[in-house]
Amino acid sequence: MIRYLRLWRELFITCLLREMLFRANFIAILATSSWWFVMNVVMFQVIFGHVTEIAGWTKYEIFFLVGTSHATFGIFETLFMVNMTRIPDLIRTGELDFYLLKPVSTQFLISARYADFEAVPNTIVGFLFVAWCAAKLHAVFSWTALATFALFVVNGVTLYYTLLFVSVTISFWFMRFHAMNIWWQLTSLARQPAEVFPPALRFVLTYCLPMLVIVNFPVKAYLGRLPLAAGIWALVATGLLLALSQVFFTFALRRYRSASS
Amino acid sequence: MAAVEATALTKVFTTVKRRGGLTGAFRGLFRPERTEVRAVEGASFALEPGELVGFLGPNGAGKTTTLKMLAGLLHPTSGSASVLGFTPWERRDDFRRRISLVMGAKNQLWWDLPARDSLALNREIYGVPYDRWKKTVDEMIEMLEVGNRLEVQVRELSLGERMKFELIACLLHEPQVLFLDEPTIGLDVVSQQRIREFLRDVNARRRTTILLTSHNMADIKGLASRVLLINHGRIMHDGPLATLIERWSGTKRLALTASRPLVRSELAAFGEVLALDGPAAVLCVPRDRAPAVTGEVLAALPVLDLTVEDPPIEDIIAEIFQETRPPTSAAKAPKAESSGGEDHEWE
Amino acid sequence: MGVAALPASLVPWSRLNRRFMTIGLSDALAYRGTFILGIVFAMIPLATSLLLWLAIYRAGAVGLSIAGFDLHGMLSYYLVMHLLGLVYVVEDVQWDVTQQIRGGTLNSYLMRPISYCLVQWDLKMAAVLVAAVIALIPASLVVIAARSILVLPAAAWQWGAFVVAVLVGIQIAFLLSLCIGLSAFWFLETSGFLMAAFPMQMILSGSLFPLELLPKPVYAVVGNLPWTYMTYFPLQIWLGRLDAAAVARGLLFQAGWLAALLGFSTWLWSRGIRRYEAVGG
Repeated sequence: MIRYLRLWRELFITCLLREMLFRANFIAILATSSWWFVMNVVMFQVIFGHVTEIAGWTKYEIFFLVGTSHATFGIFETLFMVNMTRIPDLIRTGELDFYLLKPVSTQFLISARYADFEAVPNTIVGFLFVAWCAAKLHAVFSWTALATFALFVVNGVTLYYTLLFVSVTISFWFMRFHAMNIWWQLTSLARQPAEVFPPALRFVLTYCLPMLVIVNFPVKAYLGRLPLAAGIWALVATGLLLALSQVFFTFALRRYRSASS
Repeated sequence: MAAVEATALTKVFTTVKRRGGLTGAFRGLFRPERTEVRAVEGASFALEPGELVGFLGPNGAGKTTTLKMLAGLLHPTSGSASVLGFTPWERRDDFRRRISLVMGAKNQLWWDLPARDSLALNREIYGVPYDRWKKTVDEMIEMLEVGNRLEVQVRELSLGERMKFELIACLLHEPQVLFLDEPTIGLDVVSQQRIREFLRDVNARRRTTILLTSHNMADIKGLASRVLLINHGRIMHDGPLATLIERWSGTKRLALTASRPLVRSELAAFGEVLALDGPAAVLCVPRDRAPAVTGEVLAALPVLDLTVEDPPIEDIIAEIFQETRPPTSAAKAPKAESSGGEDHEWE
Repeated sequence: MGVAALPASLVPWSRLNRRFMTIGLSDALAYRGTFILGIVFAMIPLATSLLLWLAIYRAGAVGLSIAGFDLHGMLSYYLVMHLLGLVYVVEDVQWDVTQQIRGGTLNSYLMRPISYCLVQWDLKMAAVLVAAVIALIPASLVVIAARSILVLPAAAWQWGAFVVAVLVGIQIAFLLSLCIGLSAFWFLETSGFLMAAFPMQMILSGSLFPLELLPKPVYAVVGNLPWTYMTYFPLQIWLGRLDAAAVARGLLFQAGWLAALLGFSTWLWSRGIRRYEAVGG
C-alpha cells in the first residue's frame, strides 16, 4: 500500500514536470475551464428570481450541490480522466505491453499514470464556492460534518472511477468503444438534486446505477439529511465495485492480443 | 531446471475481416466475416540458464507472438510454458521483476522528458534500491556511451540513443531472463555493434538468459550459439547455427584465383559459375561433391588460391523459408491487426 | 445542400469529393456500435434537463414564464435543441485537423492534388447526412411521445426559414470548428485548449439553457456572436419567438457570419500552411 502511494507520488511529479513544459496552454485552460460552472450558477440565479425552491432545495443548497459536483469531478479529472481516455488506445496500439510487464498492479498503473493538473483549479474553485454557500446557509460548522463530507467526496470519486474503469475495460472486446463519451452524458444524472427524479428512478440511481451517490450524498451528509443506512450502503457498494473491477479486468486481459509493432 | 521452457505452445487469433467501400461496410454491419490465423503452432523448446539463443523467421512467422506469450503478455490458445518456474501469463509480480522484454520498434520512455526521469520512474516501479540502481545505470551508460545524453529530452535523442536508453530502462532491475525483439532495427552499423557488445556482456557477466529475434543476421551470428528457426508458426530447426547450414544448405562455394584470366566455358564443367572476374571466380557445387570437385579443379587449372565456403547465411535462410511453405495454399499473414487503411483514427 | 459553404476558389464539386464522402459514410457505418450507443446515451442529459425544468415550473406559480418561456416552450426548446445536436456532428473536425497537423499526417494530404479543407468538409457533411437519417428515428419518437407539449412552427414560412437557418447553421458550426482546429498551426499543444473551448461553444450556442436567460447586457453581446447562429437562432424561429422582420434580419446576419468565417478560415489556412512549410512540419 505504502509502495503504491510512493509510486503514485512519483508519477505525479513526473507529470508535473512534463506539464510545466506547456505553460501557454496551461494558462489558456485556466481562463476557460470554469465557464461551465459559472454559467450553471448564472442559470440558477435567474431561476431563483422566479421560484423559492426546486424539489425541496433552496437556492444556496442548490449552489452547494453545483459547487460540490464541480469539485468532485475536478478531482476525478485530475487523477483519472486522462488515463481512462487513454486505455482504449493502449489496448488498440499494443502499448499496454509496457504496463503488463511491470511488477506492479496493471490496473493501478494504467489508472494512475497521467495526472491532469488543468482540472486542479476547478477543484479549488468548486470547494471555495461550497465554503461560501455553507456560510450563506448559516449551517453550524462542525468537524464531524466536514469529515463526513470529505469522506463521501472521496467515496464518490472512487465510485465514479470504478464505474468508468469497468466500462473502459469493455474496449478489450470493442476497440472503438469510447465509454468516455457515454459517461460524460451520465454525469448529468449525478449533478442534479436527487428529488428532481421520480421516486422509482431515484431508487435505481441510488442502488443500481449509483450516480446519486457521487455528488448528492456528500451534500446531504453535510446538511445532515443522509440516512445512516444509505451512507453505509454507499461505502459498501464502492468497495464491492472496486473488487469487481479488478476481477473483470483480470478476466478481460485474457482477450488482449497485443497489436504487432 | 531450464530457465525457459515451452511445450506445444499454440496461439490462434480470430479476426473480423473488414471490407472496403460502402457496400463492404454495409455487409460488415450484418454479417461480419471471421478468419482464423494460427500464429504459433505447437512450439516446444527449452533454454538453459545463461544461454543466448537466436530466434529466426520471416515476418509473421510467429516469433513475436511466441516472445509475447513467454513474457506473459498473451494467453496461449493451448500448450504450456514455464519461465523461471513461473507460468508467464499469470503475471505474478515476482515473475515480472525477474524478466524483461525489449521491443525494438517501441519505446516506453517519456517523450517530453529527459531519459533520467523515465529511469527514475522505473526504479520506483521495480523497487530497486537507489545505490544499486545508480551503480547499474552508470555501468550501462558507460558501456553504451550515452553518459552525456542523460539530461536531454527523449524526443531530441537519435534513434540509436533512444534504443540504448530503452535497453537501460529494461535492464536496470537486472532481469534473469531477457526477451529481445529486433533490438537493432533501423540502427546504424556502429550502434548495432555497440548494442551487440553490450548484450554479450550482459549475457556473460550477469548470466542473463537471452532469447533474441532479429532480421539482422549479424546479430544472430555475433551473439547466438544456438538458433531456433520458426516458419508458419512451427519450429523448423533447433540447434547450432553450423548444423542449420549443414542440414539445410545442399551446396558449397569454391572461390578460386588462377594465374591467368579464366573463361566461363572451362569452369562450367565443374559447377554453376556464380561470379567471374578475370582470374577470380566463384563456383557453386553440391555439398557432397565438394571434395572431389576441389581435386579436379586443382588438377585442371593453374590455381594460386582456393577456398571452400558455405553460402551466406541469409541465402540459406531465404532458401529454407521458400521451401517450407505450408501444405495449404491459404497462407495468410498471421497478424493480430487487419484494420483497413484508415488514417483518421481520432475521436 | 450547402454548396455555398465550399471554401471558395478551391476544387469544384467532383467525383473526388463524392469519393471522400463515401469514405466518411463507411467510417460512420463501420463503427455503428459507438454510433447507436451515442444516440441512446445522449438522451440522458436531455431527460435530466427536462426533469429539472419540470421541477422548477412545478415550484413556481401557475403559468410561470421565465424570460418569455412557459413550461411547454421550455420543454420544446430542450427537445428540439437535442434533435439539432444529433445532426450537428461537425465538431470532430477540430480534433481531426489538430491531430493531423501535429502528427504530420497532414503531409500525405498536401502531397495529393486535393484541397485539404474541402476533404474535411466532405467527410463531415457525409457524417451529417448519416446522422440526419438516423435522427429521424428519435425525432419521430419525440414528436409522438411529446405531441401534447411540443410547440411547432405555426406558419409555412417559419418551417422554411427554420430549414434554411439550420443548413446555414451547420456550415457555421463546421467553419468555427475548422478555425479552432487550424489554430494548431500556431500552438504546439492545443488539445487541452480544445477541451476547454468545447463547453464554451456549447454554452454560447444555447445547449445549456436558452441564451435569453442571460442578463440583458450579456445577451446583447452573446446574441450577436456566430455561435448564436448555429442553433439558437433556428430554435427561436421554431418556437415562434421572432416575427418575419426579425427572422429576415437574423438570416441576413447569419449569411454575414458565414461569409466572414469563410474568409477567415481561408486566410487562416493560407497563413498557417505557409508557416507549416517554413517550419518543416
